[in-house]
Amino acid sequence: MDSAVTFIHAADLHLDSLFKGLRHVPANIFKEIQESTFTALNHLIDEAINHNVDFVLLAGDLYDHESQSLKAQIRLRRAFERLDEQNIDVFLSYGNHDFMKGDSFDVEYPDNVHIFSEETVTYIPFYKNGEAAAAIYGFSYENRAVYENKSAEYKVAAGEYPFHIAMLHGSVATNTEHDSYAPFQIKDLLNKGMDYWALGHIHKRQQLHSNPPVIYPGNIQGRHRKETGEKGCYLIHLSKHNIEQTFLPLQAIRYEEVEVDIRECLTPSHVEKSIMKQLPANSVPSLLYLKIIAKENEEFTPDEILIQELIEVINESVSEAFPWQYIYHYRMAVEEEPAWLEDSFLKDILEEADTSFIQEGLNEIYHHRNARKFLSSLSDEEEQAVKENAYQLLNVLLRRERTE
Amino acid sequence: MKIKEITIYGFGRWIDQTFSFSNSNMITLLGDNESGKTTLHQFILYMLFGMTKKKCDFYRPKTSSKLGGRMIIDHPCEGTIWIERLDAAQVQYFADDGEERDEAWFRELLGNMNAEAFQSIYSFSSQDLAVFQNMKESDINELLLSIGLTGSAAVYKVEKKLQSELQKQFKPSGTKPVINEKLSELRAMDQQLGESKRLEKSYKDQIEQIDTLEKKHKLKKEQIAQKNEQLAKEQLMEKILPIRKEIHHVSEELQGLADVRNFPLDNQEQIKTLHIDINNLNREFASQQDTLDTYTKKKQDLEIASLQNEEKEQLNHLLNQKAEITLIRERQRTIEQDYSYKAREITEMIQEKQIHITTDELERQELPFYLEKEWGSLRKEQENIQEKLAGNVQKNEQLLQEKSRMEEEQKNLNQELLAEAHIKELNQRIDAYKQKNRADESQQKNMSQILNKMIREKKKQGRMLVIIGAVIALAGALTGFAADVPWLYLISLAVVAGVYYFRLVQLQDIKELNQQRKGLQPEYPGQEIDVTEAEYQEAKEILEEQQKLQRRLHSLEDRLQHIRSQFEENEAVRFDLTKQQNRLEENIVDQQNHFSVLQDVDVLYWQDIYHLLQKLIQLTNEKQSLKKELDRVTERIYEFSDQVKNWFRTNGLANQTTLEEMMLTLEDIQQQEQQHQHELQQLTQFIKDVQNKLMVLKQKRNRYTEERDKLLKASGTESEEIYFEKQTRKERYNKLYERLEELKERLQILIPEEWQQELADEPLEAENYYKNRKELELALADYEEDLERLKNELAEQRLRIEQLESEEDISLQMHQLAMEKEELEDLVRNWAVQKTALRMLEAAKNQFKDKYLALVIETAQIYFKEITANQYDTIYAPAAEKSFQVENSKKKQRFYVEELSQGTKDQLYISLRFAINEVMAKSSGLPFFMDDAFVHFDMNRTERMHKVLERLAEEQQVILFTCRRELAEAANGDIIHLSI
Repeated sequence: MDSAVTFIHAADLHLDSLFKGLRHVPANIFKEIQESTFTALNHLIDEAINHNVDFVLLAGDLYDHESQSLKAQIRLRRAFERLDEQNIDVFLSYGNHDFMKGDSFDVEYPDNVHIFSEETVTYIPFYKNGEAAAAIYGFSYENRAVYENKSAEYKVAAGEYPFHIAMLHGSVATNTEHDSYAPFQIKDLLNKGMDYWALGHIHKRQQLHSNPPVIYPGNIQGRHRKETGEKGCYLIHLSKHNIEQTFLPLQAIRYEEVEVDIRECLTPSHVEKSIMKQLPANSVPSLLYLKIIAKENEEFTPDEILIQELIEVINESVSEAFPWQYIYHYRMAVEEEPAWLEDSFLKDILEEADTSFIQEGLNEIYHHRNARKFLSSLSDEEEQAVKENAYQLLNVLLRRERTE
Repeated sequence: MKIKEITIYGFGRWIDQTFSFSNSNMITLLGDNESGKTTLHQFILYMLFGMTKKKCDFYRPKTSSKLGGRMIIDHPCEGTIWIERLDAAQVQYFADDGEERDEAWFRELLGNMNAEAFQSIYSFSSQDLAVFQNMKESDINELLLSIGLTGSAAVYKVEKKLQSELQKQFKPSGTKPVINEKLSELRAMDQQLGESKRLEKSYKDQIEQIDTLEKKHKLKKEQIAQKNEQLAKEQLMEKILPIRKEIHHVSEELQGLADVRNFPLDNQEQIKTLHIDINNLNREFASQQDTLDTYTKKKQDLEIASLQNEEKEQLNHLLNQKAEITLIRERQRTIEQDYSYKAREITEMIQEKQIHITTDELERQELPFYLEKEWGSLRKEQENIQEKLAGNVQKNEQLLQEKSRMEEEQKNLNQELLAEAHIKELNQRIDAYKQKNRADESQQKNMSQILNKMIREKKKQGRMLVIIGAVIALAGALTGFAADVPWLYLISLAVVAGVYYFRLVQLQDIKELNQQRKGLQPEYPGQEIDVTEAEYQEAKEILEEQQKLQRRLHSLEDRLQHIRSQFEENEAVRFDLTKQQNRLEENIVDQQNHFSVLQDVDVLYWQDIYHLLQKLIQLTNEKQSLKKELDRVTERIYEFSDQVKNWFRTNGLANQTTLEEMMLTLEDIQQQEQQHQHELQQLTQFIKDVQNKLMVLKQKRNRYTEERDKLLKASGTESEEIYFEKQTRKERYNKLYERLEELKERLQILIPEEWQQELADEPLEAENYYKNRKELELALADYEEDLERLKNELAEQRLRIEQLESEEDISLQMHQLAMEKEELEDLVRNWAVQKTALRMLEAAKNQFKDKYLALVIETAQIYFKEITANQYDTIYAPAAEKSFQVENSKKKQRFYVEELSQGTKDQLYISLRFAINEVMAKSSGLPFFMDDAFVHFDMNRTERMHKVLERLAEEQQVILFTCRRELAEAANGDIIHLSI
């Protein structure tokens, strides 16, 4: 019996979920960004059809309840219908973002879609040419979170199944992270007799173990600054003695973080050219986050206003290119001479300014009747950043005032 | 920390200068104005903190390009430290051990202080005082504070700037600031999105609704199916009703036929066959009998129709003659043909030759042999006469021509003859010449002779004409009479008239001529004419000529005469000839009268006619002999015909028109007779055969009857009729039984099994089913309508859902809102940073105030008290709108800064600086610089000031720049004279 199965493993589609950190994006690019999760989904379906896979595994977080959209589910249904036309099955489980008791639309999926509809691990057999070809295991989140370790629930089903494939939406248990869902230890998974562990939840692609493969495929489309690089799914071919795995990029748009060094530049045009030169060359449209390293020179010190203008100019040209690029954000670090006085009195205040002090000052807006609705409260890090930025600003301003 | 030595390579006015400071903590640099005190002060700051390039350029020496210097510092912990600077960029630090250190290390030593801070705290110049004094009085406390805190107004400015910046960004109840604007924008978007979302949320309800509709749709369909079944049942009932009815009837009828249920039909076939056979035999017997009758009847008829023997013989006799008669008839026809041929030949010939003769005439005509010769001589004679006549006429004509020629000549000559008058004249001329008058008479005679002659001639002509006319007229009349042609009379009459007229005309002419002759009586006019010789000769010649002419005229006259006589001769010949001709013509007329054939035929052709006639007569003879033959033959035929007609009459047959037909009829009769005989023989034979057959049939029938009777007895029926009746009933019974079975079967096929029991018991009335069916149909129609409505609703609902599903704006709005939120977050973050910065600044100020101001004021109080010699013992820090206040120690009076004298103000300022220095810089122990600070001090206070400085110098190095020697000397320390 030379049984073999080929399938695609993807997770965290987060269809139609919102993008972070984008502002003032040109309309055409915005449209593409907004569509990008769906484009990636279409790429996924194309790949499934092109590789003639037996089935597709989707390990949770197909869409977000937070940014609920009927479009997401409808497009998902259409995608499934495309697979159905090609007789490709879909096995899906829901994760923490699309948990079952969430307020989703009752969109009915075609018959080729098999859903793990319980929070306890169950299995669904997969038949190929009338013969049992694989048993797929999985569970779905009923509520927003699952805190217990689910690995114990995975038990190989009775019956002749050539392959056992487990889907798990959760993260490796660590002591540090307080909100790790369905936490597990890698060693827990290895002795379950599974041929493949299809994980979901972590957006960064990683392989925790190679035999049996324990894989986070990552999400299929980056949605903010930290989800950089290629995003996609895994094409897995399981045969009796061999496992082949191929990563297939699906992303419509890449998020990239780029460090550009303009320390040697002495004129604005020089800066522009230098930045342009240092932009990466990608085959897909990219959203760039620039980390600009600058230096105070005797002749020329680039300031925020200048850089902002230059970025606008650069964006005007690269956003029209093919594939387009767009610098959606940048941060400039000016390598300064250490010759500035650490004002002792400012230093004192830095120590004095604690969380409550900062929050007190910002409540004016964060507690504002109209504003609070649209503002997420600041995280500790953000608070810290605000504080540091404020301190830095003060220093800069004072220094500037004094030198004048 | 102490500055031990400074070496200036080049800075401002200082070039290659070294100053060594003694161990004393109080160093006074004494120098006049412009002696480079301030530059030196700046150099020390440059050494410590470096300088911007711009500032470096300012201090670059005019005479040397070299900027820089070296400074040796004595640090309490690190020992001796070397600093060497060149220009803005180059700097080297060396520690006590001679090793080079980095800048951070050196900054650490300076307490991480920058130049500004240092200057604010440790560096104090008269300029500062001036600024202090020039400042607006109300701002002095703020400035004092800023100096006290960081030594700069920057904090204040930054604060102001941040405040205004924040105002621009956000106001809690504003609309204009950027964030407020963004917020209202977001609110609008959010509201819109909310609405869209609500709509989208209805998707679930819509799906539920569609489920409900689908259920209803299904239910309705089921109901319709049920009704349809019922309807089908009813329709089926209606359909099978006839069958059921028939079953009913058949069953009833079967009941009636129950008696024959067991009637045997075993011998049915045999009996039937026998019955049929007997019937057949009977039928055949009857038909044979009929045939026999027919034959017998026919035979009798034939016997009657046949002829008697006598007549038969006669007929035979007649028919035996047929061949002969046929021959004779043939002959008759031939002769007739020949006869008519001959007749036609004769007629044709007559017509062809245009002979006036009829056939009858021909038959009578006799043609004696001499006629030929006679007619030939007649012809010759006529030819002869005519020839002669022609010659005569010719001659006559010749004569006439000759005569007219001569007459012409005569006329010409006459014309040539000169007129008498002329001749007379000529003669006169001659006479005159030669006794004149002589020829006149002759001349005149001549003339009258001519005229006479003419008259005579005319008379002669007239006579001639009368004679000819009379002859012609007479000839015409004669001819007309002889030939009996009337128009010839008319011609002769016309000739007579013509001659008469001509005669009249001629007579007239003669009369005229006579008159002319009488008129010729000459009249001689007696005139005298002169005649010349020539004239005479001429006249003579002319006259001679004339005479010649006269002579010729005479001879011509003679010849004319001769011709005239010939003419008469000729005339006589002609007369004879005419006589002969007349005789001949008489002869001819005779002949013509005798032979009418010759009339109108020229004698010339008479001989031909003779030959023709001869031939015609011969033909006529032949014809007549044929005629005779024909008559004989015809006679024979008549005879035979009479016989036949007789026979016809005897046998009562209608006479046929022609003999042939009659012959044919006879032949037919004979044939018929023969036929009859033959038929009679046949019939006799037939009759015999039929009689035989009848015998056989009779026997056969008897046999069959016996057999049948036997069978009937066996089946227990008395007669054949009863048997057949029973048989029929039995058959009917069987047939009905079969029908019943068939109907039952059909019913079973038609009705589904589950209905059979149910439907079997239904009543047999048709109206019930119809009614039920109608009701069901109505109900069904209603249901169908409902179903249609549901279907439409479903379709609409599906469309609604489809619209919702295709609605992608919500997603777009969501993303836009998210982006706007990001922008808001950005703005808010920015605002938050600034706001925090501002608050931090304020907090720092407050903290500083709280922490240091009290200390600074306290310390300053001590200095101030000391410097002012206990005049003022208390300083009040500025509060709210109020500036610094000082309190008089004795009177406890309080004064605002602006109320103080300039000196006291300076002293207050210096006290504050000393206090700041003491409070803030205690730890670092950096040198304190004072640059011409005591300008407004009186001696008393200067001394006190120095005491304070001395105490200050115990803790740290104090470097004093001054231009006043007494001040320098007052200070107990090393004095370095600055002089270049």
